[in-house]
Amino acid sequence: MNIQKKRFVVYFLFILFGLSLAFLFLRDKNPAANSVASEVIIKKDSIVTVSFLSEFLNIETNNESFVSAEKALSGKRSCKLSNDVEFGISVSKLLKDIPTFNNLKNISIKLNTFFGNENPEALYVLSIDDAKGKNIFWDGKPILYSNSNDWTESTIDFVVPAEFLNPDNKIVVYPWNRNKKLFYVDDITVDFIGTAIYNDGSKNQSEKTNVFLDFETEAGLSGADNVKETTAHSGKMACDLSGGKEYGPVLNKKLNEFGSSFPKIVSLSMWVYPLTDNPNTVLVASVINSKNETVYWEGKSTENKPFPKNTWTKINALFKLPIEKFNAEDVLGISVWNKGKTDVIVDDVEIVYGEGAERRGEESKVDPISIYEKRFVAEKNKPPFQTIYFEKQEAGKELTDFSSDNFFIAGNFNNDANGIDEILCIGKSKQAMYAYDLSIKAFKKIWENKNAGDQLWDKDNFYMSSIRNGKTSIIIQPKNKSIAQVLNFDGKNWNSIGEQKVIPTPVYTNPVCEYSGNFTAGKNQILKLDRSWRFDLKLIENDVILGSVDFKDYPNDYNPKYYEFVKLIPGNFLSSKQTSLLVVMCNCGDVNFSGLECKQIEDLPYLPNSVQLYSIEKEKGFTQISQINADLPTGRQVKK
Amino acid sequence: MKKTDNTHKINLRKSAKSASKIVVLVATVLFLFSCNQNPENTSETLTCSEFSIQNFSPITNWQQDSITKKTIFLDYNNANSGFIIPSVKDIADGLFAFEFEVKNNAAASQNLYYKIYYQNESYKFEEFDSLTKAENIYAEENFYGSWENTNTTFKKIVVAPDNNFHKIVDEFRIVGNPRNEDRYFHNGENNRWKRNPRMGNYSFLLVVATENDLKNIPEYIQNINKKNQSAGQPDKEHFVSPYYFFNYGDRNGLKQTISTISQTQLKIIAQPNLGTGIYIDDARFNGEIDKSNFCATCGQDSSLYKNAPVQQFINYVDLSTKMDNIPVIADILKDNYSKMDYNWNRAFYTKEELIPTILQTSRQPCATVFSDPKEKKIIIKNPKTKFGEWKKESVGIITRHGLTYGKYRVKVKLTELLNKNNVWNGLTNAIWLITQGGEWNNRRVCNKDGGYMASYWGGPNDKRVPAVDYSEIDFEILKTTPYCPDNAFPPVYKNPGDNNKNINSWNISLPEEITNADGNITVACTNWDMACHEPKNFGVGCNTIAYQNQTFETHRWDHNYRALNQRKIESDDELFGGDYFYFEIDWRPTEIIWRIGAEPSKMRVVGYMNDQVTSIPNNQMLLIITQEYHNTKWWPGTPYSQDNLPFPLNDIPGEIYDLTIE
Repeated sequence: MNIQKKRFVVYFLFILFGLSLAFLFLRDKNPAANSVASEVIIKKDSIVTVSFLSEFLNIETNNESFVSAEKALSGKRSCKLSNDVEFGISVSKLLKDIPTFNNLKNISIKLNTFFGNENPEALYVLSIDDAKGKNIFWDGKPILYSNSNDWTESTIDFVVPAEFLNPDNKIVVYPWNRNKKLFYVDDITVDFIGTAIYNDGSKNQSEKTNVFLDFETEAGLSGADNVKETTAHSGKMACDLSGGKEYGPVLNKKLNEFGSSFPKIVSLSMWVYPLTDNPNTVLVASVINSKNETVYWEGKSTENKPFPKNTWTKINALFKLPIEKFNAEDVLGISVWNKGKTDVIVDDVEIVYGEGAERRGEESKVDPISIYEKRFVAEKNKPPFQTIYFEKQEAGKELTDFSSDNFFIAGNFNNDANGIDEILCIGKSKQAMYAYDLSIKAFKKIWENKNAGDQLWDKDNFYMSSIRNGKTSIIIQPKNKSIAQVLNFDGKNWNSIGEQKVIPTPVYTNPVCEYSGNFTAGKNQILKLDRSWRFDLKLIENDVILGSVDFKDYPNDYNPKYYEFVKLIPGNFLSSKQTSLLVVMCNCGDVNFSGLECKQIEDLPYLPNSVQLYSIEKEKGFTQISQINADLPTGRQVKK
Repeated sequence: MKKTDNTHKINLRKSAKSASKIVVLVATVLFLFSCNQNPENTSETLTCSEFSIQNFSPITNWQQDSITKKTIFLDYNNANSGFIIPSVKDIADGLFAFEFEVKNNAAASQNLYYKIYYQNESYKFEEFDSLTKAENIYAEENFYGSWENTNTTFKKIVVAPDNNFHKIVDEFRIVGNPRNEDRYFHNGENNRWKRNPRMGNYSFLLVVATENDLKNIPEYIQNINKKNQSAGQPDKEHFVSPYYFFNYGDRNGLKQTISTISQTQLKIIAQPNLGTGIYIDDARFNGEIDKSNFCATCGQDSSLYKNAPVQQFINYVDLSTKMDNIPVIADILKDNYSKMDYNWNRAFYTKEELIPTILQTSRQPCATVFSDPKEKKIIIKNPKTKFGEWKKESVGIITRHGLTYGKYRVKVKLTELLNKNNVWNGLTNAIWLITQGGEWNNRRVCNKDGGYMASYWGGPNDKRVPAVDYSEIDFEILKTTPYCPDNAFPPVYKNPGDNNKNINSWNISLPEEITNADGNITVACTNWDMACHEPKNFGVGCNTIAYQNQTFETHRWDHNYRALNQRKIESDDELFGGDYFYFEIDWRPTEIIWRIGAEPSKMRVVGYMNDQVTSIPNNQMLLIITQEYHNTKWWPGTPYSQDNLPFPLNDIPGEIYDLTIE
């Protein structure tokens, strides 16, 4: 094979690989492609039931006596229970080894069984032993019999009583062939299930370091037997340590949950409601190693502090953790110790592990001395960038029916003399076009689709525009059709001027968008929005970043960059010579919101969804941009 | 005051500095009464068997209409070498005239001897210690004096036995270092400015003795430059207050000595004209200084050098103030900057976008401080910044004349610290006193546990020394939290995330105790006692101290921590939102009281410490008024971090309308 052919094959394989990835990605993006079941939308920060730990046992690597190669659902081996084998493969866990075990509710066992002709009436057993090995809980549930002469999947659920959630207790689950009959078990999945405040998997480390325990859900707690409906600081539930109860809730975290660097501090707060005078309730942080030795203990007590009776008073604490003494397997526990055994209620425990994540990126290369000596010169396309402000313009209220999950196209559809763009908005229930009326400083509706059932204006169609002789046409390709309609606007209605075959661009997935326009009049510029991390909008001219774009004059906190789901639509709405920016801003209630598609638009009272119009103020724009140093040698700062 | 017709007027004004000049009087009447040694009312005739005196008037040439209460304002002109009271602007020859009348009660002419002493009464230790029933060991620190030449002990008069009262007229003035202590000399020159007269009320003690009695008045009382060496132990040598000696001391052998304290008191007030100008001290600026902003009211000309009461203050720049600041330039106070802005800016800048910066001080004298002669005020401005010249620059002024003790009250409109969203602008408004520096200005020796921490900056492992010159008393007002009660400290701040697709990730809320006090700022009152362990109730952590039906909570981090702190939560709008506000540090020998208020008559106490909990400085200090950028690491628990607050887009002005020390 010659080099060219080799290259061809390599390129072909690359392209094939890329297409496969794209297919898988797009397929994954389309929920309908995977499942027909209605999708449960988990709201951010909601309480959810999750599996804290899941273990899969396929027995292939097990060498115990019950292992048999006679039958197997997967691999070559299974667990054979017989006249000689009474107990099958067991899963054994210390509770403290189960992440956030404090809120463990259930153990779910999914197993595959292969029975003979006789029902062995076998049980699956959950047993809990205390730290001394004494059995303190036992439950057995029947394993469903099937004589199908094939592997059968079944599920057994155990409820784990909260009072046994002591970190040193050991949970064991195993099949019990109590009648010593023959059957096989394979591919067992043991799920340790509990409730938790939903933690988005995409959250970074620092977000996972904030824990708030309001006891309403018992989320993340053990010692929850004292949690009950009582006088509460918030909600209805609190931890009642009256009647001589000494130990309150505990939240344990293995230090390896924090990643490679352990938290150097832990900050704690708790509300305390003493029912008697002089409470001595201690907020405790401790670390226990794998040998069950306490390697660190520190507490802050209410003793001799102003905690009046029948009053909620907060105690705050900050403990520096001697991380040099810790190992990854050690468990950091936050607990409440009612040392004085006085009657006291505690509620709303807040825990913050560590000091927050470090900022991204590498150290700044700016020389502070150059700033001090006033000889700092910006390097081309390297931070820090000057801030260029887009100023809010009046836009009226006509556009408020639309949100970021709608479709917008700006263009000179009307082709009138002023050369000003209109904005076509395609919403689910409303499709309309607007033009900016300078006299009233607001967008004014110039067309609306009156036929609600018109499939042509369906939100899920594919829309694009084309410009011919200064006039913008709209091209609409209905979903699942390969022919697109081309329409022109005549000032009152849209008229079809023909059809054309278009290949729709795949669903937009790139978090980086570029918008061209004359944002400072007379200049061809690009606005580049990168939402892969933050709202990062840069104004670029001739491949030179002029600056970071921010917004001003918006009401309250309604800065576009604060919204989760933002669409920018550039257009010459105010002037044929200067491009403005229509910003459609929403928040999204989806849990795994990627910034591209939102199933559940969320209107937050402090950051309401809205549509705003921005442009660089003409005079200020010129002045500001001209100050920006653009084209200097890169790599080092230049002395004036 | 009634004068007898037959009084003979003897004017000693011209002989005030000479002990050799003797005036002979002939007394005609002999009274045989015993001496009245310590009368309260000098309008009475005071008599011993040998002579009588009456009508002691310590100041006759100033405010003649005021008999018991006289007031004089410090003259700041030409005061660099020390304040002189009165100045030649007050009274033509720059001397107070005093007078008394004396009558010889003996049958023959006799030599009598007199001396006038003055003492600051407002800021003194009681001369007599009621516990030890002896001289208060700190009474020697009191500010008392007599004639400037301490070798002028008692002046001799010869009084004829003519049964007439004869008026004695003499002069004195109040000056610094009245005991002419060597400690305040430099290269043979008496630097009287190193122990300037204290502000407040002065009393006047006249002592008249017969020749025999004079021999029984110890040398260290006659010559206040001398120390009592009677103990024979050099380390126990000390000055003895004549006020103690004549009022509480052993008067055996002084039966023919009359000592009397006048009812007349003189109140000295410092109220410099802030429109006089601002002097620029080269020493406060490194290297060659930029004089481009010099003007008639700010600079280094001789008039400003001689007369300006203040100079530009340049904060010490600690390298720990290096920060990587967000690259945002904004006017927090005017731009509606919100907590959400703060949260976003904290979360969404990369390290390479940050601006490495050191908190700065002005390098251009007079560029950020202005003296307005018309309004008689001073304006300070934290300068605005711009792209490429990012800076957070502290600004302020410092007085040029040190004083010990006093009630320092300033009328100011310093910058608001919080905007309408209650976001802090990063500034600390400070009204504070600082040591005038120098070994001559060492504080009283601290004897316990090795003494003071040796230096301000030395850290917890610094050595301890018996004496240091460092002292500082502060009002520092900023957005931070109280340390006490310690159950509430430190507030728990959530760690922010940086997921821009989830507002709750980065837009985190502040704890309830912070939001409940959202519009409030903290008035931090601090005494830098350099961790001297001598106070009886020296403590660490949070402790309480009561004063006038209020309880204040003091805080000290540990036994080596150099400062004792109290904090009071106050409204930013009240303190800095109005036209002006008053701040007062009442620095007294045994206590410090911090007060604030809308008017001098409406001051309220916000901080109180006494010598039972902290070592009260007794050295000479200067007053500073600043708007400073601090590293918030100095202020644990602060809800906003300095490096996450923008650089200032506009100048941030503060105005100082009045400074009164009394």
